[in-house]
Amino acid sequence: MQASAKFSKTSSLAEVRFCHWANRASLPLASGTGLAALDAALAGGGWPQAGVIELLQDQPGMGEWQLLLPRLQALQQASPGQGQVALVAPPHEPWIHTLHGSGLDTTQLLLLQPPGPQQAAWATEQLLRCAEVAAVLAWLPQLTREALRRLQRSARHAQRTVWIWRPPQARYQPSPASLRLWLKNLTVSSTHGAQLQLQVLKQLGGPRGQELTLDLPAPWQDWLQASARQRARWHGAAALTQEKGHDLVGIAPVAAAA
Amino acid sequence: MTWWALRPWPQPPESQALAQAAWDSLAQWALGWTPDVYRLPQALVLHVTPAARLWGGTLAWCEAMQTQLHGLGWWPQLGAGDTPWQAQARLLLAAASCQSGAAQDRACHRMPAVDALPLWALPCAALHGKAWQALGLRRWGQLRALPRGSVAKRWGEATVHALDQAYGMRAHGLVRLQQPAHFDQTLLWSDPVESWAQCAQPAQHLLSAMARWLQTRQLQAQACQWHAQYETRRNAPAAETVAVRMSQPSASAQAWWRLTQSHWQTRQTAAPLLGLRLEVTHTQAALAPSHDLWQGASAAGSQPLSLLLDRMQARWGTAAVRRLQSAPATLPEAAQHTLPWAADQSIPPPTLLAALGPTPSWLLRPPLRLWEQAHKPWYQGPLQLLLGPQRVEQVHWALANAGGNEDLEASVWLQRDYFVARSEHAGLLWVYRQRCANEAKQNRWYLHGWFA
Repeated sequence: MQASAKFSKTSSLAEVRFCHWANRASLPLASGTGLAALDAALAGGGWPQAGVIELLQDQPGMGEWQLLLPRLQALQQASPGQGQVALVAPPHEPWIHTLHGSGLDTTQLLLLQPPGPQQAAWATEQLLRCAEVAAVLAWLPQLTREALRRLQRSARHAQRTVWIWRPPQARYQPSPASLRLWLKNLTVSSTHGAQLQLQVLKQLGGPRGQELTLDLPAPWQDWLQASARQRARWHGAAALTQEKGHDLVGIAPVAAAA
Repeated sequence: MTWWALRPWPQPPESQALAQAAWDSLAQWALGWTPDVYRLPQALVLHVTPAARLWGGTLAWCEAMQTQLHGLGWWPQLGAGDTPWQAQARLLLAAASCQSGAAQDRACHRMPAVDALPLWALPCAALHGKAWQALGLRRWGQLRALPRGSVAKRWGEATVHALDQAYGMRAHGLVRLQQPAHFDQTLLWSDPVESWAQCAQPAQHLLSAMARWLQTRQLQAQACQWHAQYETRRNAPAAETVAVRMSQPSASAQAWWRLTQSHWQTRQTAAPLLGLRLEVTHTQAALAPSHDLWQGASAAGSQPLSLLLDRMQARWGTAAVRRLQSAPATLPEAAQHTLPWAADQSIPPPTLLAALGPTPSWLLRPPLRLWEQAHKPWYQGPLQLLLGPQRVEQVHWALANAGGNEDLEASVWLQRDYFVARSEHAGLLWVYRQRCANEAKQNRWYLHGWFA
């Protein structure tokens, strides 16, 4: 009896290993994120090419646009003239002047404001079936598990990726997503630039739990460094003349920074 | 057997208008199969031979046609023959024997020979039927066996002419039916239905008729109207019109049905529905399909984006699907505005606002008033100002020319100092300080965007 039990245990383990190997082998080619540190942490070396990518963050402004812009540009260039980028229920209005400056074709930006979470999930799924849509970004904080599973199935079927934003509390719930990233914090300093702390919560065919600190190649980086230099100069001058007490000491005028 | 005859019912309805509507809808349906459709007094005839090859042979075509007819809920009678009149005569014979009820199966399915067809089924039988009956002439063959000259002398040249046409000895001389220039079909039912959702079957019936009409006229529909006919109620209107419009014209019944559903989902019926009328209001010439080698592979399972956005706008309102357009303005909130999506509208790319310095990725609309502590802004903790100030100024002229008094002209001077601020928890923010013209008032801080 014992021997047979042991045998069955080993066989199931082997099965699990085989499944893991098979899953890894059947992984589609990934496409690079444009960030070397993130590419190294992700299975396949980049964003998965099909499935749901969950980004957990508690408020906007965690460097999400900087993280996605290289991939969005590549997707738009792959389908010239019809690379629509659809934003489903975005938390705020994207500022097109900045995004256009970063290389995104903002004339192909679509903003959808569905009246409820169910309609938003429906819209996301329908957009995945449109060949003219290059990328779907959806903010779905109240997504149910069934809806998420359905989205994952549709995305895998259509061989497309969809980025879904959810609150960090969702990390306690299981998810069928191909990749789950938790964007924890964005720290900005004039010496290190913009650094994004994130954790890989789950990825298909790869290890999970890595904590990463990414240097975001933000366009405001140059301004910040120039301002730091200016500030250092200002502080030096202030120490000489012994002038203090202004509210905004240490703030460089933009014109000087430019 | 190269001709088929069709009749939409076993017995004609009492109302003349209903009969005409039934004939018209059957003719439009038949024109979807072949352009060789003709109207005889008591039947609709189709010339089968020229188009049979396209439908996979006569037998396959007949089966496909009957399947579609039964799917549409029609049970018309069929007859076949070498000429239009033979087909009509067999149809009438089958109908008569079906009505009499005697030996129904045998009579319907046995095809009498041409000579054995009854004389009352000839077109000129109404004139000379009684005389033929008195002479003991019952069948086509008996009349044809008589000398031509005496038949022509006694019953007119027209009788010989008709007999020749019935036997295929002379050209039939019928005029082809055409699809009407304007599509407008009505479907009425006896039991009123309570909601739009219950009209699915008649609506699809009308839409498939529309698709056939579009196909034969080589058109695509851009806009159509549903006219609902309501039961008479005291506080309800007698009819209601729902206009449906597509950004990209389409000839597909399925696409139109999806869009119609989206419109109906947001509506309530004012009273029980008695009928539906579909009218096509705008059409465009259909483009010939381009036979791309890879088209099938790339478009498999995909739907056109314009149709999806039309459906979303029908469901949620036009303002729910928007695009962003830049505008020449100094104030950031005025430098871009949203406009409802429209397929035929292209947007110019934005011009770069270099004067503003670093600009955020998310814009907060309207700006959020920030709490202050010791004259410093506070958002989820104290904010550290990294970059700025960048002055933005604008003057609003408020003209109040009431009674031509120009002294009432007033200006509102807006001055803002924009800063890039760092927060411990919220990342990098775009804040501004609103300067007040009145020195006594305090300056106010606002959050206007995020660098993301």
